[in-house]
Amino acid sequence: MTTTPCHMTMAEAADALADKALSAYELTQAHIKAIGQHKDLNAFITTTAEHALKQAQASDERRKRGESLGVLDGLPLAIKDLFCTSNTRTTAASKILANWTPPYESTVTARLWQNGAVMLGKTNMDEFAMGSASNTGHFGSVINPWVDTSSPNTPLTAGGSSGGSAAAVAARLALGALGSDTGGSIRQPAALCGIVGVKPTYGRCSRYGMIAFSSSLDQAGTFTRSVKDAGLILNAICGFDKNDTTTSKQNVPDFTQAIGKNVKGLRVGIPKEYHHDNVQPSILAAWQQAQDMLKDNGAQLVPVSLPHTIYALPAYYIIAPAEASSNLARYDGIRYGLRAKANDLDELYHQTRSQGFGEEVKRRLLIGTYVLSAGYYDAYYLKATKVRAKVKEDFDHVFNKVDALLTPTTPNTAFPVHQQDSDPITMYVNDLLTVPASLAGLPSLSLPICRNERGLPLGVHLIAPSFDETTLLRVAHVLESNIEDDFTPPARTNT
Amino acid sequence: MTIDKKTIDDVARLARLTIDSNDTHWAQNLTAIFEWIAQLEQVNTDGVEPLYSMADHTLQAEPDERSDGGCRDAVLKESPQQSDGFFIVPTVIERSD
Repeated sequence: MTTTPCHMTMAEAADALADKALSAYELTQAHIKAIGQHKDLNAFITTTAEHALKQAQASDERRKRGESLGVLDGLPLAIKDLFCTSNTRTTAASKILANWTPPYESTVTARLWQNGAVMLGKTNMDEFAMGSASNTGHFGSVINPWVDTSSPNTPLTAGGSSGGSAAAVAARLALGALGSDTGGSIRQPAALCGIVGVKPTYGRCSRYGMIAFSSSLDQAGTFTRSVKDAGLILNAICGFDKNDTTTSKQNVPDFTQAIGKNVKGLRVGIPKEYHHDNVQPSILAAWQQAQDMLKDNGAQLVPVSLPHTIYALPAYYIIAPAEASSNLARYDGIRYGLRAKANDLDELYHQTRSQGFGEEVKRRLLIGTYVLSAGYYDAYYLKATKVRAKVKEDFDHVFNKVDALLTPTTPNTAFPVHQQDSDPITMYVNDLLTVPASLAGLPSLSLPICRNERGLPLGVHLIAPSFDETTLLRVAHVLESNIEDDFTPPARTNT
Repeated sequence: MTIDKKTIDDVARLARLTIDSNDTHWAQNLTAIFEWIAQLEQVNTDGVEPLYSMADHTLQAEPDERSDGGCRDAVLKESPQQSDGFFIVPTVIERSD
């Protein structure tokens, strides 16, 4: 075997387990060792080595008995610390939940364990998933395993909010990971870390046990190092859940069936509005490269227009904080989490929330409370929901003409970890190109296409009609098959 | 669109947050954000129905069955202060005696 266990894809590792070339215990041990060697990335808030080895041992025993639970059985994965895991603390990277252990398990993680997957730990993130650089949390910033060759000593952001999951998968500390995406929190870090990130259609995955930020936008999804691996995790986590009535009863296909299908005759839309002034030239070049790849493979490129694209981000910054201000009202110091010392109930609320929340969360709670307050509701919240309808209408129109859309994922590559901290709007613009699909609930995916002159990965973004993740994976796999650059971060080459 | 100190104080009270509104960066940040958000006024939304959710179906009713969830102790275990099956809070109602 030429590939060390940590460098395998999930599909390769599953084959090695099936062939008995490797045990789940060895595979898990190798990842625990890698995590220990890369604490500098701050990718994990909590590691669960003992639990992981027990799960791995149980997996090996099942396999010996001929009772394997399937392709995920024995594969070590990382979980964003936004998903409730019973008996393992779940913090959402907030001081207010820093010592909270949920009494129940989220549906998507439960489905992974039912399929035999192994939990390596809970990954670092922006507090309550609010951020684009994984540096607003209580547990410090996540560091990207990639290095800017023109400034090799400057730590770069892994993106956010699911930066810990992205960094862990990119640095070969986990075979795959779960993240959540509200406005780009899977796709942006995937792009910045040079891996594949999928946000499924709103309603594909249960939100039960996923700590709520913005309920009409939040969606669980995947980080992997191959398109096929994304399909393997999606197969396990998607589908109706009676505990989340917004999940869909739509049939869940075998997503891996999309792998290997060509794109001949497929109509791929190229929206002109994504040629935005804020997008770096190297990213526009990567976008062009991806277009050429699809054209060379027989796809038909169709210029399209999504005229309300630029309004999606400001609309999002009304809708998401509004929903957050309602969702985070539950953190009152009474039933769980931090409780501050206080003489009366109102002081208890104020002190608990003021001590427990960080600055970015407070800023969004102020925005959300303001736009929902009497006298401002119509001008802001109602207006934003109408703009949201216009954004969705744009997508409805173009999907009459095309089967998928291809855009850049992010305006910029990975930037120094605190570079954008002082200006909230600069930070918000990271989600400029991912937010429109979020508002419309559409499935979307980021995958790395090439690296720029400074060695950093560049991602492109695919968007498909609702519940057509299969087309996303099909197009992404064709692109993946044409990629020439290597996406192993340099720091990992000799380990 | 300027968010002033008084607005910050009012909104912070509604959100049950203690914010030092004398620290001018709060008002500056929020003013900048709302000036940026104001570009939404350029979109003609006359006659447009608001879109609140992308859930693709109407919510379903559950069977009308009683359940206490069977998890009282597990839930109480995580409370910062609890006693005899109840959450404990600071005094809300003064005793009359």
